[in-house]
Amino acid sequence: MRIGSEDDDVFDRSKRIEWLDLDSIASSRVLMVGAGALGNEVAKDLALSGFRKITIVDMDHVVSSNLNRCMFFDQADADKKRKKAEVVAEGIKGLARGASPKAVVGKVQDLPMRVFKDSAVVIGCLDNVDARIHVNSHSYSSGRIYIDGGMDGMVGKVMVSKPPTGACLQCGMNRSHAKIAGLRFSCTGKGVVFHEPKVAAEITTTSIVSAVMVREALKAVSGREELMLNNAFYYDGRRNVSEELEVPLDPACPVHMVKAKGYR
Amino acid sequence: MEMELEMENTIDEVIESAATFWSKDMGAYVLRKGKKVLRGGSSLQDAGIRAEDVLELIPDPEGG
Repeated sequence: MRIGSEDDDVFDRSKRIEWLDLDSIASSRVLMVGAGALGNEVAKDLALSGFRKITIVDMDHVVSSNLNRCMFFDQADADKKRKKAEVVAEGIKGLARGASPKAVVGKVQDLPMRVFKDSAVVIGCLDNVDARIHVNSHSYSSGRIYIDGGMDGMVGKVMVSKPPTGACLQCGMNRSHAKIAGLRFSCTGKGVVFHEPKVAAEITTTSIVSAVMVREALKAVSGREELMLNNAFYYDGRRNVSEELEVPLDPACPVHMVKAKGYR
Repeated sequence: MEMELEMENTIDEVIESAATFWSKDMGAYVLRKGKKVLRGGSSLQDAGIRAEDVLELIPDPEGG
């Protein structure tokens, strides 16, 4: 052994965390849905943590208002209206040797079920209730852990759904979620108009929420589910408070009713 | 705020009333009691809510 040789190993410091299974992390496929602010930070943390097989799904293109919190985007991407999923995939390749990210430009609703089943864990970096409900139900019925992140200004939340037991993301939803989901699509008589609400956002909250999400993914693929969040992590940056909240399983939740009836 | 409620009132109704009272922006909210998120469709009775309980309305952040 040569003195200082440990500094030649990219993952030397990670190897000092005993429970991290770096082989499993490198070989496990992660499905990341959404490549906006949260998606950029999650992708960066996944790549630096040793994940190599990352599928990135997003239908949108880069705009200038993304640039104060998205490390992989620049003004040229916005000017060219480049697709977010493709830019993030390129960024991951530049950040992590041996990474093989796969960009999927399109709606998550158009993904075949096998994409969920082929992934070890699903990470939601989404910006609307409809897509969250879709990804949650498909992850749950595929038996895949779903880690969902959300932010509003300096408030953030991470919800972990671990099938086949326990609550899922939809168990924690109520009529207020249904209302805003319904508002997103409105019929004008000539067609359906898509409303995209502009939500307050800044990078420090994004960084905290994404770090918690990726840490949960590391636990999941390292076989340490007992260390994972039970339900929800809630963060309020205005008050410097973070806590774990219990979300009880709702027997009337459509995801659990489908599972109980054995529908696929 | 103090609310006068019947035990058959639902958590959804409490959320809507509180959000309206405080003129909250249109968005998703949940009601929590301590560390537990309350189920929207539950009645106060089913949720085990009693007089003088303190419930907190918190945003369920939607942005990504």
